[in-house]
Amino acid sequence: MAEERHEDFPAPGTGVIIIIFFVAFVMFYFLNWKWLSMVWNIG
Amino acid sequence: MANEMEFRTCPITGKKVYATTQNLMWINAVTAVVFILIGGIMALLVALTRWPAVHLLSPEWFYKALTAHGLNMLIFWIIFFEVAGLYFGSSVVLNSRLAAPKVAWLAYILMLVGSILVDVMVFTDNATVMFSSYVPLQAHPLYYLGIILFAVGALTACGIFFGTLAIAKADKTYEGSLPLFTFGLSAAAIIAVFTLACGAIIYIPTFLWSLGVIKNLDPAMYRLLFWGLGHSSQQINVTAMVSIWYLLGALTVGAKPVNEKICRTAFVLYILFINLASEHHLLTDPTLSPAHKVFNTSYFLYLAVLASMIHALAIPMAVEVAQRKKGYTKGLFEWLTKAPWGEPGFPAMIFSLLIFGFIGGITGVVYGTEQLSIKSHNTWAMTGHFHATVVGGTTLAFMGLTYYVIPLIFRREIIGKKWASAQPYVYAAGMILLILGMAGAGTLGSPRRHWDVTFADSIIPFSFDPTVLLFTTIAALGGILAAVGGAMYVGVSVLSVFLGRKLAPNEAKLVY
Repeated sequence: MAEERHEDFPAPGTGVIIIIFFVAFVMFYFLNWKWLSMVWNIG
Repeated sequence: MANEMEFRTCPITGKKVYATTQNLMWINAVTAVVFILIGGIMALLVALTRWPAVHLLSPEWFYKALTAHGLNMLIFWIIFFEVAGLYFGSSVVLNSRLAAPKVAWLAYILMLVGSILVDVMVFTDNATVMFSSYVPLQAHPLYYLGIILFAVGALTACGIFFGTLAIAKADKTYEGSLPLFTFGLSAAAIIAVFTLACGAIIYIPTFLWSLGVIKNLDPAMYRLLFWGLGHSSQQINVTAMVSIWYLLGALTVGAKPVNEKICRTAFVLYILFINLASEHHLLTDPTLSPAHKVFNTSYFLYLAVLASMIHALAIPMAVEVAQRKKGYTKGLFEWLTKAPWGEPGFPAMIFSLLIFGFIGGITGVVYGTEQLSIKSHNTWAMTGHFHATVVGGTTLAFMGLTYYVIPLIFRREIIGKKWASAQPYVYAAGMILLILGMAGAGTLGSPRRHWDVTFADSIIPFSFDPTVLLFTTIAALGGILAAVGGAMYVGVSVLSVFLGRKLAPNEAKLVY
């Protein structure tokens, strides 16, 4: 077995999953506001 | 009826399993599986009707099937299973006898009679009112009575759970704080009391209205209070599901949260704020002010979202730490690739977590924003959202747990272990396709709860972007695949419970 290489944070893989989650969240949030602006023009 | 004090000791966990608890868990879990079978058949019929290439049912049968699907899946399957879970989390986990087993049987009978009444009314054309049964749509009085009986039974079961916690505390059957799983179930039971109280507050006058005793019922008040039951019941599911994630993590890889206090705090945030999600259903409703909607369903609700994100971080982190302790430390993801993917509980937990968090959670927050709700409300995208939370999330987690309850509590060997191992994959794949199809078609404007998405017989002609048909087809194929996965679950669990080899008293055996 390889040695533990991530001693500072005990779960670096989880950290990557969480970053992917936040990126997905921000993108979906942005896209929905964008779609709203396209179907509901103001001014 | 078994002696209240008769128990056996589980050879794997060392926990006392009282005969009364075991019998009550058995009957509630088996009944839950019967209702998922009914709800699943209805789901397949609905999916094949929404698919224009097949368009299976007549309008009358479509709305009947849709009503039955919602009630059997969202209420009966899940709450019967949760009652079994409450008895497990209190009596078995705490080594305690169950409080008032005779009352627990009464609760079961009330729930059973109530659910049968509801289904009979729906299938005999007396309650084609959809899951929400919005006033002034009126069903037969027995439909409302059925819901009330079911709610009273479920509320009584929550009382049994709290009573058992009190007995365990008094008898000192455990030391220190409640175990995290039981703590989470306590949060679920507290939310359940609020939920069922909302149900009683609105369904009793609605029942009297259907009898003609009350002449008028305010539709706006109905909508507000109904969702106190209708959506909050899903918050019970979320809380119970998260508790089961922790349990499955412990059962499959020996995962233990890195910081249990934070996990407990997250459950408290659920109790305080999660039920505000009920008002999401009123975001396009004119009765509440915009300030009220934004403050409650955004700012306050985000504290419950924070709780979900804490759990979503804590559980994979616990799994990763447990796996790394076993030596799976290579790279970022060896802990995940070397996880027990052949044990049904592990993929069920991971897929449940991912579908709930990535799809259900993100869409929930976005669609729950007032301005964005205007675009997505009453579209199929919303249906996609809650299939990600309640089905891909809750149901899949419950299915995963079943494969451990059968050998540990019901003392039967699993029949069809390969089928059991494959089932979470098939079900999750089907659900992901179904959800993405619904979300895609809904984003392009396809309405929910509609018999004919082509509007072929519409007085005012309308046609969607052709991509809607592509997404509708993807959803239908996903629905069929999920139905296959559901049938695998029902088949394996029913065969195992009734025909599985009886395990010897000291025979320790999980799935493998």
